[in-house]
Amino acid sequence: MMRFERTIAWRHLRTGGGTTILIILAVAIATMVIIFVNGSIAGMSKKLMGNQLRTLAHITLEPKDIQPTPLENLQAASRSDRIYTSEPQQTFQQSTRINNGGEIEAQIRPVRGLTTVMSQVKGNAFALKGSKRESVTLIGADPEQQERLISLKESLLTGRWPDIAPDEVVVGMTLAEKLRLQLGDRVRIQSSEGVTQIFRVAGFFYTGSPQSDEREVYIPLRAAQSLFAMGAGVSQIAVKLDDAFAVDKTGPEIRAMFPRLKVKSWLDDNEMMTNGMRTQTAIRSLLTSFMLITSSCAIAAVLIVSVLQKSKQIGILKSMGASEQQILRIFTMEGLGVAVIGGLVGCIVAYILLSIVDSVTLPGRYGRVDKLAPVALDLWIVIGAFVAVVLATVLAAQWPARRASRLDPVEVLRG
Amino acid sequence: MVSRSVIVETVGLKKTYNSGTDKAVEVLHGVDMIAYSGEFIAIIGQSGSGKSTLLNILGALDKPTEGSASIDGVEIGSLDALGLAKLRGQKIGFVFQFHHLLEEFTCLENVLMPVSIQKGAPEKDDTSYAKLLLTRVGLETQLNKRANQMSGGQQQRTAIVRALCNKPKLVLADEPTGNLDSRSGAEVFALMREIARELGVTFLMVTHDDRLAAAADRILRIEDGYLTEVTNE
Repeated sequence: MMRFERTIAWRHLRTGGGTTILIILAVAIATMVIIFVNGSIAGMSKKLMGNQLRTLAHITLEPKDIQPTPLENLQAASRSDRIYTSEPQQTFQQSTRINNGGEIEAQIRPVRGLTTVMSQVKGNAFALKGSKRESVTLIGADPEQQERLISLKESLLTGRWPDIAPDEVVVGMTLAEKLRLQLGDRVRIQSSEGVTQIFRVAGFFYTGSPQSDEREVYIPLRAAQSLFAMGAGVSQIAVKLDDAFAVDKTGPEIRAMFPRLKVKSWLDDNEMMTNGMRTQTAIRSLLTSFMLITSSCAIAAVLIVSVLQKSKQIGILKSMGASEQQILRIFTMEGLGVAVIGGLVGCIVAYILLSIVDSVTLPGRYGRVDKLAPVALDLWIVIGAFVAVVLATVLAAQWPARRASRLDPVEVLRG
Repeated sequence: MVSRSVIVETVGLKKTYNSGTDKAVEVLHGVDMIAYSGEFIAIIGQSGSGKSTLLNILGALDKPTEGSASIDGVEIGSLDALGLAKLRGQKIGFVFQFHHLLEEFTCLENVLMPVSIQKGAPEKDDTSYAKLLLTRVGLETQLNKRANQMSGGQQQRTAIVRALCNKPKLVLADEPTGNLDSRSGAEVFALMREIARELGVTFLMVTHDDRLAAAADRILRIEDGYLTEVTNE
């Protein structure tokens, strides 16, 4: 099918010399830039998101906050001859707890798309070493389950995790530096309930998230329950999903199951990050559109010149019986050929460039190796860019192709 | 007496440019003509007399404003753009003053171009026929040469073979020797004359050269848009 059109279009490209090279180059550069920009931005987003999500539960269930009663509502103060003013404030530490954590876990587990459901005790405390004292967030959980939730092992710089003893803790490296802690040192933990216990330091982690590295201390669940005087109670149920972004669907489902609990999604506490992601996506789309429009205009311009150069040839072909449709197909195929060759070249070069950028590393903190620029070598970005460029090029070729097909052979042959 | 089929017939053929406007110019004023298969007809006339307009209509590149023109029984005025393209591809061959060969293609590929347009790609028989014709005009050694690698006479002979390769009923030649020196011109004309006779193809040749016109079967003169037959003595 369409062998004649294919033959002519291919011969045009082969004999086009500088024009063909120029137009292929334009398509290749457009493809390359689209892949590079999308790959870089996606890589950066992925890294930021990955760092953040690694240290978070996707959904947490907590007891609802106790709402303080305004002063004027108190019976003792309901005298009509006095005026009271009050401002309800959140209490700093609420000793609320979930007493039936096991039951709640069992009810949540059948929900689709969950990877981990676990009970946690989370609260504020002080870590003390000698004269040094730092405010910390204490996270008490079964270490094996905690590992499934946030994969702390990946971030472990030294020591052991999750196989820690009941009197051992794992602390963030920045916090360890502040307290001048060494592996095996003893550290005193004083909870907000005023209970103090001594733990041995079993390991240090560095996640790259300052919030986590500066404040977090992981201890076994029983030890945390004891520190916060919770008995068998827990402060929250943490849930991890297969897909962090499925929280929009799973969150309401769990919320409906437990109307008496406060069900929070990670998105609620990270609005700034999700807004940033949305902005990045918009910038990516905008840059991609600009590149497509620019390259399409360049391609259309070069093809118009090509049509003008070949107008006599078009007249000859028409005089020999070539129809308008055949001429239209010749120039569309020429555009398609340019798009496919230029697109492939652009994809290959972009992939190589991204691989090079991805392999460049810099020495990071604590002997870690960081990437210079995180990039996403995502096949879908490459395929998407290729398809978008091919479509844009073929569309751009339509105008010159139509112009060619409508040339009057009498006019062009008369010269 | 052997009956000859009518290849070209025009009745009251008129062509007006800018028809329906105050700038309307009638170029052909009711041309009646008939051409039979195998005839070699010369069309002569001054520049601007309407020769090219007549040739464009008979070549299905243009349509008459009034009257009728048919090629091998097919009425040109009744066809749409696609129908006209098909008619050109199947029944008509063109030879221009300038060879108008496609530079990107070889001699053989140029010759096979009308076949490729019709069929997508030439078949074995088409290639054999093209080679036969090229041999007939003495170009058997030039098959793989590009247009710019051949002489003017060779280019024009290639153009003649291209016009014949699709086995047309009618070949329209617009001053085919006008761009050649007198010797090459005479050779090309003689070749067209012989091939027309051998293949039984009707040739309509526009020329300014009275000597060449005199060698045709018939001479038609166009003057100010009117066609008259000249007695060939």
